Amino acid sequence: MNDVSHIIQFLFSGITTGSIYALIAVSLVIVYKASQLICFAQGEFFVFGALSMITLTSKGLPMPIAFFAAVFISVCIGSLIQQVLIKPIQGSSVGNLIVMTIAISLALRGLALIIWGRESYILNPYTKGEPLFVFGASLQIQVLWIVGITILVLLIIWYFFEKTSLGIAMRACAENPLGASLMGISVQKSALFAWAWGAGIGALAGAVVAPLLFIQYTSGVMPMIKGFIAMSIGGLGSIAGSVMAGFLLGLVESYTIGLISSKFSDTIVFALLMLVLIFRPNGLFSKS
Amino acid sequence: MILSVNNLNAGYGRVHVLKDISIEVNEGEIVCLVGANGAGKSTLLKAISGIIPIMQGRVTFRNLDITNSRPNHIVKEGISHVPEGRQIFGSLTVRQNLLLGTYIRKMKKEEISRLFNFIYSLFPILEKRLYQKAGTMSGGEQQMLAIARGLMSQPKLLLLDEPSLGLAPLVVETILNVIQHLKSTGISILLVEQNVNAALEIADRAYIIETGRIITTGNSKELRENDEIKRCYLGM
Repeated sequence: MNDVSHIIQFLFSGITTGSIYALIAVSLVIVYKASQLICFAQGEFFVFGALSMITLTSKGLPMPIAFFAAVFISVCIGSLIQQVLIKPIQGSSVGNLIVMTIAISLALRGLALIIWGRESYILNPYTKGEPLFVFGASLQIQVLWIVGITILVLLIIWYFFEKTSLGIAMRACAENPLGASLMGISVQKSALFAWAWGAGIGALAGAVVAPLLFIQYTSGVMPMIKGFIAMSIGGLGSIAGSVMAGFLLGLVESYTIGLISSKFSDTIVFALLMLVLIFRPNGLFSKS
Repeated sequence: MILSVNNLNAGYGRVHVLKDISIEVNEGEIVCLVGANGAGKSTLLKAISGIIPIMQGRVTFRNLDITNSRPNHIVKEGISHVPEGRQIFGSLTVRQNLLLGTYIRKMKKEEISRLFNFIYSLFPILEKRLYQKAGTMSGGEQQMLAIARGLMSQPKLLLLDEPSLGLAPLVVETILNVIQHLKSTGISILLVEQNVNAALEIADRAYIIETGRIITTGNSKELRENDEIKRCYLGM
């Protein structure tokens, strides 16, 4: 392998992890915009997405059906949690709500431990096939699936929030709940949809990456933290900003591991977060 | 009679703001609520449109009991509330704001475009601003948008909360003219306005509200000649 192939190799792995961070960050932003609340349970939806897909395929379900079923399971869990645990305390302090999401995160992690135990699992790739070689760098077919599905999901999210009346109504609720309810839009329903979306996207991130990573019940912690950092760098409430920040984080990590040392990858990501918070507190890509 | 409020009591949490309020709005009438800051005018509008709960009393709209109905039902029945401070969606375009006004009704394309044309006839500037983010417009334009958005649900009764607050005199005049024009199209209007002089010019009747109670009512002409009202609200 020469230098060029190394650089391209790091690019591939950066885009792969970047896709996952971008998806988690977007799922956080959607919930944040609807409920003004950072849901610390997003990492657990990631784990549930991955592990339920692995279980379903091991029971003989075809890959595509297992994929949609895994996402759907988390959508149901997310909706249920919003209705039963978040809705009754909506309107209490942000602190209470955040502690509630941390509690939900721990409870879901416990549930995953009960269901799947302490073992790590990995899924077979979606499709068989030898890796491709691009300028001497190897590219696994699963990476194409991850990037393709991520781009497709981001386009669907963009279309939903820009072009459909339900999506625009949800943005209206997030921006001005009083104004929205005077238009006859139900702010409660909007929050429910946001949780469903958030849980579904988190699970999807887990399901696409399941063939590349060993996943166990605690595997949601790091993706959640990285997604949260991407969200902060992107400016908390911005979907486009957090997508860009997610890919940026993935690339920074990958090149740090490749060119410096894997010891520093987290350090550099956190340093980047600090710099952004100090110098561009409204987000790296904000106009002001 | 299109709206009747009987012995209404309401407030925020344990704070009791409105005490035994009874008012009526007749078909095709402009009725004005006059009172000092904190008298309970905005609270009354919020209680009618279902934003805050009613503790006691009844609200009837076109012979239908809408006491403590949900806001979406009330909008659907034909009451539109243009709130204090406009509450437009600044990050959305003018067009998206207007379309959200029709959210509660399933409308055909032709009906929506007819409504848009009606809005342009009232506020021509909004047609030019259609694809602009609402938050980037001037205060006057935002107020016009707020009223226009309220009209998109095709209300029979419009609740207007301080539509002239903080606006330049010329814009205030435009808005007051539009309110009068809306009356001529058959929409009834319940108006809260701190510009009492101007409000009594265009209103048919008014209620004077003080610390959560109605203290006087009458037609606008009588009230303008009432000495106490002149002293307290008209600065004469």
